[in-house]
Amino acid sequence: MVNPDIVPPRQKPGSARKRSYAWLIWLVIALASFVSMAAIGAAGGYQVAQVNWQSTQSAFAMQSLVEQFALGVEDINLEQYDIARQRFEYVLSQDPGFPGAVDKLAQVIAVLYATATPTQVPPTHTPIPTRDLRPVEELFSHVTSKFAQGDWDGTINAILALRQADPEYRVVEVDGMLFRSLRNRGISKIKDDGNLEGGIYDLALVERIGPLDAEALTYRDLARYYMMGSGFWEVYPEQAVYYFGLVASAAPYLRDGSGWTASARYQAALIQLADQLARAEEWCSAQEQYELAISYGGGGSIQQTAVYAAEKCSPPTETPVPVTETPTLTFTPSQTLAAGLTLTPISSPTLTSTLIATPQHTVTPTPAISPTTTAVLPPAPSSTLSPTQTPSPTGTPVLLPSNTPAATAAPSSTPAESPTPTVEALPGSPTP
Amino acid sequence: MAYQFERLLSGIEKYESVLIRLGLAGLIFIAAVVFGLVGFGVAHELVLLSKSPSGSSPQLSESQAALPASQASNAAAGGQSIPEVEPEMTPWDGAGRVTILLLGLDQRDWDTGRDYSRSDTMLLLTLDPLSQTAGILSVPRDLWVAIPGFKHGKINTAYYLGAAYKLPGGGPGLAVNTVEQFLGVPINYYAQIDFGAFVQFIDEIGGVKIDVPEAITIDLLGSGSATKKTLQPGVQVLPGEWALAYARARYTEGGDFDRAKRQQQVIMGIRDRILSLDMLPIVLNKAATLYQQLASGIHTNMSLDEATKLSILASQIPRENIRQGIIGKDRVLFGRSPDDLSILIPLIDKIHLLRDEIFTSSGALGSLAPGTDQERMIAEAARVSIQNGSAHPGLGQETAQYLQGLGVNVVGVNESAQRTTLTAIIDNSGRPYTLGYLVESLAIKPARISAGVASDGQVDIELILGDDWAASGLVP
Repeated sequence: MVNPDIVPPRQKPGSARKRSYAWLIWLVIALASFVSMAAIGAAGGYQVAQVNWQSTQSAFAMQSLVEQFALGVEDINLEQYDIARQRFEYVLSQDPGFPGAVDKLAQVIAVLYATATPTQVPPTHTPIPTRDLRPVEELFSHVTSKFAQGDWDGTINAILALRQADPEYRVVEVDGMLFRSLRNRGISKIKDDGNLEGGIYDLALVERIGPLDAEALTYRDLARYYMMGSGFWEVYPEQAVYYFGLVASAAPYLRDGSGWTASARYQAALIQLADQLARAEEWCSAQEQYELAISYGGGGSIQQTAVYAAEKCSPPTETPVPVTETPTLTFTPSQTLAAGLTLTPISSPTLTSTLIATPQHTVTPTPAISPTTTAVLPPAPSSTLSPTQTPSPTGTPVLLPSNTPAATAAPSSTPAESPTPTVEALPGSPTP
Repeated sequence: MAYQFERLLSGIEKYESVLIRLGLAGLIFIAAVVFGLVGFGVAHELVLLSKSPSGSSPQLSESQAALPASQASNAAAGGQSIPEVEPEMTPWDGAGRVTILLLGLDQRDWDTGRDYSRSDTMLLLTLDPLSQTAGILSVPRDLWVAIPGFKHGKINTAYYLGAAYKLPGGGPGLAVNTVEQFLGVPINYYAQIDFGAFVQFIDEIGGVKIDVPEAITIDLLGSGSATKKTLQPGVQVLPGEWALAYARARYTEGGDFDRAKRQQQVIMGIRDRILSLDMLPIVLNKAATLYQQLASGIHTNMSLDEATKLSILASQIPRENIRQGIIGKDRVLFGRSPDDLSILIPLIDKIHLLRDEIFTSSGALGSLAPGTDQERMIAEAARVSIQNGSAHPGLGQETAQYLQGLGVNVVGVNESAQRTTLTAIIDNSGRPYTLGYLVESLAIKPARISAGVASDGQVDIELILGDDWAASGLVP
């Protein structure tokens, strides 16, 4: 029974075709959804990762700062001031507002430099740069701006950026600014930063462009002598005395990365040499070195040892007490690490002799040390120190003293390394 | 009725169709969400991976488990492990010279189960993108140097002390600081390479071709008792283990200095191997494996991105532009430390020469102006004033004419009220080419060169003629 009025719906022509395309539409929708969701997810992941990374880094950084601060405090307690200084400087470099870090750093610096020779900064002779403010091109303008500000480091970095973009752009002018910036930065590294080799390296770069001036040469030579003395430190005291004496006479304030000044090094080297001479029972020479060290500010136990050496040099009728060996110059921690290496951080440049004597009788004072052994520079600028004014007690450096440990170095190597250097006093340098 | 039934069926079909569509849409939605989550995860990890040095996420140092007693107490006080602090080094700016300290640790320290190791190998690799030059400088481990914050010691103990004392930057940080203070060159990155990674890496690139100059006995690591092998002279391709043993062998006549040469030979061999035409496809195919090894066996403060850039840069530098140097026996004195260890005392001036040869003879921080000395002086156009301080009236004018003939930009001549014996020159503005040209032409002594400031800013260089110039016979 079919109702003729009601016509059953028929499939429209083409509906099969539509159905056949339906899967394609679904596929497109699916793919589009996958891709868009993946893209959205990736974008979200990127953002979240960035945030996570930053928060992780911040947490790590803060954790490390707290840790370094705590270690620095412990270093102070252990009198490892130089290590403490490194830690506090690091903390402040990462977070200038870190609670207590500034105070601790000040405390450490106060201790570190308390025993060092007072530093007298000579008048600055760094010339003011050329006022070349022509705004030509952005990078070049940045270079000139930094140069005009006297920001040598900034100028050099700006020049590097400029040269990356166009090495030939106003190349002669840029070479000139690089020349002056490297020169001034090199001197500043030597004079102010204690980065002696860094300064020497900068000045070596300067020489590739143009000749060095007298002031730069003087600073470079002082830094060289300091580094030479450092190479002989605790190994050949005579050599160390010679080189540090040269530096201390012209620039006693000059210091290395550890904070030791040239005069402190010189004084310590004198004591090392004196101790070495005393062990060899060359009492008169030892006494001479002790006295020289005392003239550089040493006192206390050195004074006693000097008196003892003087007594041995000109023995009185009484019998002196035996010499007692005591630990030397530097702080020694109570532990030896697993690798068999003893860790010996420098506590501070305080100086004591390794030989402490306690005289129990009156000793006739020996004659004062010959003034010819002390390097004295006239305060006038550009004065030249003749080789005879070398603070070395022997005048001429000898690489291998008879009582030094076995070494295969030939004495003849010294002249090659140090062809009788002449140190020009820096303007305004204090007389040691 | 049948029709109604059909309609019912049709309705059900429609309903089913809707359901199917809804289900399909739901499936697509779920799958899309899964895709989104996968995308999220992949992007998240990739970002973290790309940001971490050596391609690893930030993690605690294994070496922090064992600390010196005094330092361990600090760690315990916090009640947690301590994150390793990356050394503070200036990242490469992409333009200037980049220098990397390559560190190899002392296997003997590991063999004996020590917590901290010394650095057995220290090599500086430097690349200059502008001049397309590179350099390798080997630093002997027994060099007697100032270690920042500690007493003088052998340079190889810096790594140990930095790690043991947990300084900022740890072992690599102190090693880098020590080398920087000793050589003066800024170091941007460090890379400490494990032996295992080194061996695997060499094996992945199919060995390294080495020209062995003389017969040498090498000691293979971890090969049981039969570890001694003898390499005969000649060119041969060494597998990883052999290459490592060759680079580590020190029992030859030259000791550590010969060893440094062999290490540089292996480095150059690796470079040549990777860049050789027949190896390039193999290296590209194995890039993923190589990357895994780099990530796991090389500890560095370089990001993957930086390492990639540097690798590309290194591959562009021709072999003849690579300078190699060793702080060898001619640059040191042999001596004994206060605790009677063999040490090498540096001869600073000789080391400076070597350093300058490798680091300063080219690069963006140097003279780039083209031409001869005279051409550069003319291009500089520095304003030169001449003052005659000699006892010879008219010498100033004569010299001015002479110098103008050479192209010097003389802007003024006058007689000085002050008598001068030695000719002096003052560079007020940083005009190196004119300064150098005049110093050379007038034979001015270095002590008479000064850097000054022009009072009026009108003169770049002041030349003060002295009696020596008048008497030199060079005056035309």
